[in-house]
Order: sequence, then structure tokens, then C-alpha cells
Amino acid sequence: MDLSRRLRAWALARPRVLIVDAPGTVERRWAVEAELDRRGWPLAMSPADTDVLLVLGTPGPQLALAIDVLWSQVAQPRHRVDLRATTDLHHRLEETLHALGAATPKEHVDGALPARAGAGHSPEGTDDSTHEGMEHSRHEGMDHSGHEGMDRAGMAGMDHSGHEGMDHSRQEGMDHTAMGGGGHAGHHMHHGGEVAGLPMAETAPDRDGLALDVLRVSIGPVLPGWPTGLLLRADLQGDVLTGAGLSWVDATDDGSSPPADVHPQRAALDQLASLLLVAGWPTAARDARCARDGLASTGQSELATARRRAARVARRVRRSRALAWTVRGAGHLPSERGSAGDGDVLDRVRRWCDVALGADGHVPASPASLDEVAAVLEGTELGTARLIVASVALDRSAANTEPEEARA
Amino acid sequence: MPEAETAAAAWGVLPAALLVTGVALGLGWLVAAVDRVVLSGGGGAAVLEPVRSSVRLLTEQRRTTLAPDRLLWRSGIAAVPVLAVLSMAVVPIGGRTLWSSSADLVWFNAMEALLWAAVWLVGWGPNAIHALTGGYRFLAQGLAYELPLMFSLITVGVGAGSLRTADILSAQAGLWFVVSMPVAFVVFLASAAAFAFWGPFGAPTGADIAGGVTSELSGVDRLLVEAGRVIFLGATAAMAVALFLGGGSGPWLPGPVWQLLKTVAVVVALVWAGRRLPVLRPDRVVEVAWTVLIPVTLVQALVVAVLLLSGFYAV
Amino acid sequence: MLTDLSGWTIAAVVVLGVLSVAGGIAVFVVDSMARATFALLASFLAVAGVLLAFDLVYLAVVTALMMTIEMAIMAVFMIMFMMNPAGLMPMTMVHNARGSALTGAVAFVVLVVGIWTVDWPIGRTERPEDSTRQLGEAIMGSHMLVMLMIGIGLFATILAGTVLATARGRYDRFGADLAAKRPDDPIPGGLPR
Repeated sequence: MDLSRRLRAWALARPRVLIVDAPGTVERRWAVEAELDRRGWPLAMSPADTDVLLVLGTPGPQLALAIDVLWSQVAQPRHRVDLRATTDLHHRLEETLHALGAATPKEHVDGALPARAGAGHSPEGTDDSTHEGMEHSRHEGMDHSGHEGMDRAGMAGMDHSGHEGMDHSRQEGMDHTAMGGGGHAGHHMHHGGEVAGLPMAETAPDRDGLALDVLRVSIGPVLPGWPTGLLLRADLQGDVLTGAGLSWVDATDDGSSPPADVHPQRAALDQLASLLLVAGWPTAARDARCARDGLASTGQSELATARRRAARVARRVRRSRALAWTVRGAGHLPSERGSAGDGDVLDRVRRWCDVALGADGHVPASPASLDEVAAVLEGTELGTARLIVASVALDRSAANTEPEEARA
Repeated sequence: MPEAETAAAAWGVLPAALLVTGVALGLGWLVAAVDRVVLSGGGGAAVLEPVRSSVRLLTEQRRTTLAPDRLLWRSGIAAVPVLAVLSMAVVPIGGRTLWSSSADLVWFNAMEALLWAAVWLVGWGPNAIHALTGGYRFLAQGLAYELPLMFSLITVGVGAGSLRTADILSAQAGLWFVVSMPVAFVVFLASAAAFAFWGPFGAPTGADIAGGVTSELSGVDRLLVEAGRVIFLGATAAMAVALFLGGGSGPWLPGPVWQLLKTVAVVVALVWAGRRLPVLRPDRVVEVAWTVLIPVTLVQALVVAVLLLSGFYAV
Repeated sequence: MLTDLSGWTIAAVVVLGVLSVAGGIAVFVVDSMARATFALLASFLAVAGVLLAFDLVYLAVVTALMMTIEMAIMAVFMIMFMMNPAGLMPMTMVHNARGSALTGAVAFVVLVVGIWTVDWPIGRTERPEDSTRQLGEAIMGSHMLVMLMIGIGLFATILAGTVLATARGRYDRFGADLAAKRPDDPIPGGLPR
């Protein structure tokens, strides 16, 4: 008994963490990521990959709903931490370990609970902290509405965006109106409008002029290497986006944009870190994060080390032929803004590298507007779209106040 | 050529199968440990992390999604590690393979081909767009690496005059095949990374699609798929040692030790090199594979065939 | 003949044969394209198992390899742009039920009659020591012309099919006078050109 508990505690000593940063918590996220890197706790890729959900700051109502949906998809054992300040970070993380290790084994005795991810989590989730309890009731209701398909009436996806983004599988993921598919190689489809409560794909011409299925998806607002709160609504054919609209969740409260005095070099390294993560280069992303965190230190020698580190990673990324080969040509943005987004993803990567190198007098790339970016996303493949979004600095304060309707 | 004794014949089927499974797990752990060390930037303690992750995943709840195709999903998940271990059946361990036939190389290739179906099912089953995208990326990449991989395997078969692993080992008594088949060697290792969808060929599980085919997996499901990936990578490294680096041949030390050392070296080199690169996007890789790699591997096969006719290989 | 096979082999052939037929039937019973595809694959794998039971390792393994890749590619082309993952849209592989039932029955009768009436050659030679080598020598020796013709024919079919299917030709890619340096493709490839 004691042995199994200790084994459990050992197994959960390096939990995978999904960080959700509410607007205005950039510096706090950096501090948390630095601590996680120091402890060797990996960052999670999706709710299925998550042990600890770490919410920074106070999310707006829509983001909070998305977080609840995310949380419902995290498998047991799990723990949720709401972090309002980073002062007691160490303490909170230790507490997390304790809570994870102490969760009673009977919670996860029976493996696959068929209804679990579908109809919210089972009531055992209320064991360890008040968060869990609170969150539980809220989200039960919400989740049901989604599953019953009521959302299609009016709530239109906002509440499920988290769902989509990370779990992409549920109701909204397939939020189409009718099912098409008449053109499927003569195979007879039973037209039913929806199957298992999910609306089916419809048909639309693709870029080669063929009639293909198109699926309406929303991606975001929480994804690895993705600006938290950004929502991409798109029509997807295969993995090609045929129509794309970008918006911020909780776009109305734009008072909480990141503070203007963010260290430009650190911001650039942060941008590089998420871009490199999206580009599938985890070692370089780790180095970028490490340099970014080092630049916050006060000691002279540590600062010098961090600068050297920043220079090394920036040069490495700048000179990488493999990266140039794989991202070149993607996401040409109009150059009217001069300094900002002109050029393709590679040009922007190199500009971020320059800023990370600490080139003096270099104006940090000014934020691109969502519409500009969304226009470039059309016709790109999902991975390319992610690279493009990761390569531009998107500013919440320039957000469209109204969520843009996805084009059909 | 004399019929080499198989491990199954030497030690009995069950002990030999257990041994191969054990070696497969060991190789998988080796790959995962080296990968973790490289990813976390040094630190020998990281070698325990794969064990820790495995225990954690064993205790974790299995999740499901709304309206999945559960039968196909679970079949795909189970098939990944099973195929990885089956591919080990023709990899020599201490000079013996578990099973030997006149078509060992094709067996190895077929297990990898069956992986196409398995990975695609893992992507298709959960009814989720990111997982599905990952499944399709794997197939696109598969179409790119499959023919170069086949040609590099055929090159080895031509050089040895046999598709049997034991014959290939004995054909390298004089000179390792890597000397006359460098292109095939590199293509074989690159394909290994591709069919384990790892490193620069990790697009099917890319962070840009939230983990792709693995994005909906938790608990034992995730463990099975991840184990299958690393075992495949380890099995291919061990196979590369047998096919190109002379297997257990070497001075002073006994054969199995040499084989182990070479396998560790190949794994370390592969992981170190692979993690120095970002993910190479499939749309770029496909064109290069079809227009560059296929002709190059064909020329490699031609060179080996000419060398064979000129009596270069002592077959 | 059956007599030189061991009891285990016969049992394996019978079981695998039943499985392959069951897989074939399942293709027309299941209601999703993915399941139909993989039922067909299961049927082919059972056939590969039958070949393996006959100790025709190369043929067995090649059958498994080719059929898996074939089914995977079929899945790509048939389902790739069918955007309802997990086969949420029910479908059926059965069309023109009466006509196809009739055709199937006639074909079955013809084949069964053929099997039982044709005067098949019976076991004349010993089994080869290495069936893979024998197969290779047959393909590269006495049957080389046939195999080459089939190979070239298949390859030409693939090329012709691709050319017919693609809407874009070189004039679309390189301009009316073929003068463009870089092709105008929706997705650029990996070669610097």
C-alpha cells in the first residue's frame, strides 16, 4: 500500500503541465515556464497529455468557459492550479505534486469511461481542492448544452472553442449545418443531417475545382505555441484552410493588453520559443526559453551568460538551413507597414533573431492586425497556418471588438 | 549457404520470443532515454524518465472522445507496439534471429508497411481533426519514404545475394556494407525516423497540430503508441547495425558486445542528429524524396549490382 | 495435394480461409468507408496467412506489404477529403443490390464448377528448398518478358491516370511561354527551382 503510493508519487513527480495564460500575464508565464524548465516538468501538447492545468491570472468569461471544457478532457489523475501571483509559485507546485500523488486510486480504477469526455467528468473529480468543486458544477451544465447540440442555436462555438482547439473532436469541431457528400464516388450516403449529435461536413469546391467535403472548425484559444485567447475559425478541406477568420476571445476587455515595458529582447526570445515549438524544434525552443529566463536575472555574470545564450540560439536559428528550407515561402504579408510583417515567415524569424541578438536601435516588429494575418491563412495547410500565426506578434489591444464571422 | 540456426530453434519458441520482447523493450528504453537526455539538454538523471512516464501512463485514466470509431481506434493503438516487436523477429540478437526465412528483409519492410494502417487508424479513430491531420501526414510521408527505403533494402539484398539476415551478416565478414552502400545506409536511417514519426519527420505528431495522432491518447493507449514508436526506432537501429555495420563483427570483444556497442552508437548518433533539426514539413520532403532520393537509391542499387558482377562481394 | 500437408497447416488454412471470406463479407456489411477498407485489408491479411501456412514466405509477406500500402492509399483517396472523421457518416458499399447479387451468384457458380471440373495437374515435383529463390529465378528468367510488360503497363497506367486527373499542366505552372523561373504552385515543393 505504502509502496504503491510511493511509486505513484514518484511516477507523478514530473507532471506534464498545460499553461493557460490570461491576458496581461506574460511576465508571469515566463516565470512559471522558467520554474517548470528548472524542475524538468514538460509542457503538455493537448488535454490528453496533461496532468496539471495551470491557469495564470483571471481569464475572461469566454476563456474561462474554454478552460472548463479543456479541464473536462484531462484524464485522471489531474490537478488544476489557479495562479494569481507567482510569489508562492514554488509552494503551489509542491502542493500540486502532493495533490496529484494523494488522489485516491479508485478514481481511475476503471479505465475507459465511455461517457467521460463526452458528458463532462465524473463526480469523483471533486476530491482535492476547491477549484475542482467549483469548476465541476459550472462545467457540467455547459458541457451538456454542447453535447445536446443546443449550442448550434446561438451560442455558436464560443463555449466550445477550448474543446475544439485542444480536443477538436466534439460538437463544434464539426459544426456544419448540413451534410453534403453526395459526390462521394457514387457511394450512397444516408443523409441524416447529423450523426451522433454531430453535424456532418458539407461539400464545396476546392482549390483545384473539385467538389470536396469541407468541415467548419475552430482552432484555439488554447494550444501549444499559440497566443492564448486567439481563435481561428476556418473551413477545412483535408488539412487546407479554405476560409479563415481570426478573433480574440473576450475581445471587449482590451484594457488588459500586455504592459508596454516588456523587455524587447525577452519578448523576441519568447516569440522565437513558441515559433520553434510550432516548427517542431524542441531543443532550440528550450534554448530560447532558457535565454529568455536568464535575461530576467539581476546578477551581472548570469546576465552575461544569458546574453551569450541568446546570441547562440539566435545565430543558430538564423543560420539553420533546414529551418529556412522548411518554412521559406510561407505567409507573405503585405509590406505596407514597412517594419512589421512584410516578407515571409523566414524573414520574420530572422527579424526576431535580430531583436533577440540585442541589435541596438532595432524597432521590434510592430504587431500585425488579425485581418491581415487571416487573409494570408486562406489556402494554406494547417501546419503552415500555425507557423504564420506563430511568426507574427499579435496585439490584443488591436483586437476586433466583435468576433469575426467565419466565412462559409 | 548453410542454414543458420534461429533463436527459436536454439532456445525454444517461448523463451526466444520472451527474449526478443525483452530486447525490444530495452531498445525502446534506450531510444527514449537518449532522446530525453538530448531534449532536456544533458543530465544523466533523464535516463529514468521513460520509466517514470511509463508508470505514470499506466496509472492514468484512458480517455475517449465523442463518437469515436472505437474498434478501429483501439486496433490501431494495439497494432503499433505489436508490429514493432514483430519487426524485431528478424533482427539478429547475438547472431541469431527469432525467426528466419528466405524473405527476412521483406518481413521487416512489411511490418513497417502495416504500420501505415495502424498509425492512420490511430489518427482516424478518435474523430478529431488534429489526430486525423496527423494520420494523413503520416501517409503522405510514408509515400515519400517507402520507395527509397525499399530500394535501400534491396541494395543490401543484392549485395548479400540473399534476403536472409543471417546471410547478410556472413556476407559482411570481409567488408561492412556501409562502405559500398553509404547512400542506402543514410536513407535507411532517415526512413527509420520517418516511420517512427520522430525528430525531423515528426510532423504526424507535430506540436502545430497539438500532438497529431497522439493528441487524443492518454493512459495505456498513449503508452502503447509511444512504446511502439521508440521500439521501431531502436529495432531499425539494431537492423542497421546488422545490415550495414557488420552486426557483431569486430576485434577483441565478443560479438554480442560489439553489436550492442554499435547499436548504442547508432541510436545516439541518430537521436543527436535528428534533434538538431526542426520538423521537415511533409510537403517539402515529398518532392525531394520522389525526385532526388528515388533516383539516388536506384543508382546506389545499380552500383552495388555492378560491383557484385565484378566479384567485389565474396558471395 | 492435401495429403502432404500437416494437420496444423490444414487447420490454419481452413481458419484463415474462413476469416478472409468473413472479411470480404464484412466489407459490404459495415456502414463506414474506413471499416470497409480495413475489413478488406483483414481479408487480404488472412490470405497472406494462408500463403504463410503453405510456407511461401516471400509471397505471403509481399502480399501483406502490398495490400496494406494499397489499402492505406485507398483510404487516402477515398476518405481523405471526406471530412467526417471516425466514419460518422453512414454509408454502404452495396449498390444495385439485385444486379450485383445475380452477378456474384453467377461468378460463384462458374468458379466452383471450374474448380471441380478442371483437370488440375497434381503434385509432380518436390517442394523447392528455397521458394523465394525459385520465384526470383522464374520472374527474372523464363517469365521476365511477361513481368516487364506488366510492370511497364502498370507504370504507364499510373502516369496516364495522374496526367488525366490533374487539371494543371506546365502552361499553368510556368506560364504561356514556359518562361517562368519558378513554377506557380499552390504549395511549393522542397526543391530550389
